[in-house]
Amino acid sequence: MPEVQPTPPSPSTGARTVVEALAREGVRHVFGYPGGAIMPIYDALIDAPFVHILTRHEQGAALAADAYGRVTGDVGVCLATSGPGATNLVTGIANAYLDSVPMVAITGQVPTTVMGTDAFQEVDIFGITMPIVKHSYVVRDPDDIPTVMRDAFHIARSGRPGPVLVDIPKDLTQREHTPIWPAPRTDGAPPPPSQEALLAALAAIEGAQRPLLYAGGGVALAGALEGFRRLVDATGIPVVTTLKGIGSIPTDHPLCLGMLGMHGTRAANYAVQDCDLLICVGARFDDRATGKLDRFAPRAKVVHLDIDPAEVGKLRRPEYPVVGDLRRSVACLSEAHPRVEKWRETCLERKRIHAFRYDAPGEDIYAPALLRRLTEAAGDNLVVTCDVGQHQMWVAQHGQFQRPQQHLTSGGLGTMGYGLPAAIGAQLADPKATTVAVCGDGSFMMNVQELATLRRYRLPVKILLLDNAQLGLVRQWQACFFEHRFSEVDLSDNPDFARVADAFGIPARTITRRDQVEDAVDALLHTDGPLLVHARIDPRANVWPLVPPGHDNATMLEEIPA
Amino acid sequence: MIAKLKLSLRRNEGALQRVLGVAARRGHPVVSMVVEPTQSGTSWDVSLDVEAGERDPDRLVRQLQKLEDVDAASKRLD
Repeated sequence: MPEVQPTPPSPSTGARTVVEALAREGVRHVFGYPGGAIMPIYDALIDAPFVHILTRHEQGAALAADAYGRVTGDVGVCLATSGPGATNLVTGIANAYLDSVPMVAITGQVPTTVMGTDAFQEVDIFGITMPIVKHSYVVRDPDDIPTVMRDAFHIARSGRPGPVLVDIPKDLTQREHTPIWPAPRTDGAPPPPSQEALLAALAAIEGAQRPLLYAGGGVALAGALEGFRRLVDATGIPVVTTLKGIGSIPTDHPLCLGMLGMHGTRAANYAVQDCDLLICVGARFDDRATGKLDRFAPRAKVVHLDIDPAEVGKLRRPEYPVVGDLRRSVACLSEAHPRVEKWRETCLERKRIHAFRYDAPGEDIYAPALLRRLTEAAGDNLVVTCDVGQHQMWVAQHGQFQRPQQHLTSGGLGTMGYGLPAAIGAQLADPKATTVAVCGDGSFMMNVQELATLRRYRLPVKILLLDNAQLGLVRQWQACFFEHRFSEVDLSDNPDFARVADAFGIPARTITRRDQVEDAVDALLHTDGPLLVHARIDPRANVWPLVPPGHDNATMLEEIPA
Repeated sequence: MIAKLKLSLRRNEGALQRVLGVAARRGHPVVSMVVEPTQSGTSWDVSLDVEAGERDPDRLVRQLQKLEDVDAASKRLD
């Protein structure tokens, strides 16, 4: 945060105070959409020392702010007016909540004189969002704005990060007052783990014969990436990752067994089922990762490292709970020297035997091969944002990533339509990165309006649209678990996506054959400005392996005809 | 089976709703809630009885302790 020189109190309005508070927090971009109740703040934004990005839907603003927060590691900010503007933020706020992303969402509210009267565009957004925010405020006095804003940012970014809502009635943003700026908060540093707990965990690792690291999104959120990698290299313990943990160690690291869970790799899932000590680092035993919980890691004792005490024991009671700063925890555990040669060989042999193959027959575009090629060719400068569906799982399975910030995906909420607005936020957060939104045809249509945002700000975001003219993952489940009774998954009446992009002023090309892939990858990585590559893929291609719901992770279906 | 909890809660807008919401969403329907302002008037002492169900009430206590408005939460021994 930049140092702010103390200035004598001077008259302001509530709206100008909000803008100054954002500037004092070091905000560089905010994402939003104006409307009646937030007009005074939009008036003050004209003189703001930071940039406002106008999205074309408030959901786009919230999802862009989410991605901005993930890439910068700091707070993403979104703005909307009252009523529908505020409710349109809800999906993005929930997305940030489920994935522990630091966000401040500011909503205009109807004037205090009419609050509670069902006034035009009045909703209780404070109440609506209560289950999906870390905290929230309704401002009742403009003099409270400096402290509320300071605390909102502090809460959003400290401990386990999350979204904070600030709802401000219009008349308070218009009212003149003299803001008094509070001192920055210095509390909230992550507590150190207990030495006793760490020593117990250390002894457990030393004594384990088949230990396994299970890395989640918390590794990156805690800034523990470097220490985690030292832990892996020092101990030689194999690693599985959650969807959000991808990149905690490079995907091409010899000890990386890949993602675990419903669409995890065989090597990862077998390792979990066979390990005798599961060392969970910043993960939360999510049902997509564990499969049937009481058969998850059935032979293992559990070490659980997390900043959030409520996550430890929430779903699986660990024998060795370690609550506190992950950076300190992983640093301490790096001193362990378990004898894992035989176990490691077993894991690596399975990894070799069950490696994904990319020699699918036919001339159709094989999406897994395309995604692997794209991510390999791009290297460390790539940021991929995903929509939700089969393409998302293919990215997780086949993408090559060096760090978690390269792979932005809606893990907890599973928000279709995340990819494009997230790419906008990511590109602004890291302008030098090559940002590629990998979209499905169903998801893409959910926030297609944000093509106008790309055009307006001339962002060089690339879009790889994998079009199977289906809601592919739903179709796959209907094939596997509903006796091939396909219900409302046909999207064969999709528009011509290249022409849609063209209408927004975005260059586009359509590819249909495998021999066009190399050129398309080259274009995605080397074209100046935005580009949409529309890739038609086989609608019968599915994501394998698949752990059926209610089964343990050793039960992995493969290649069921669909 | 009823789990009995006590909380010290800052008297902020929405604080009571947050406590009720967390209890219900985490699988512990609220049986009764007694709220008394402290002498300072800036916080509440809350006695909360919830259905324990099959979930460990300690987990609910930890969820409540995370709320910004909650200064303390624990099981009650009355």
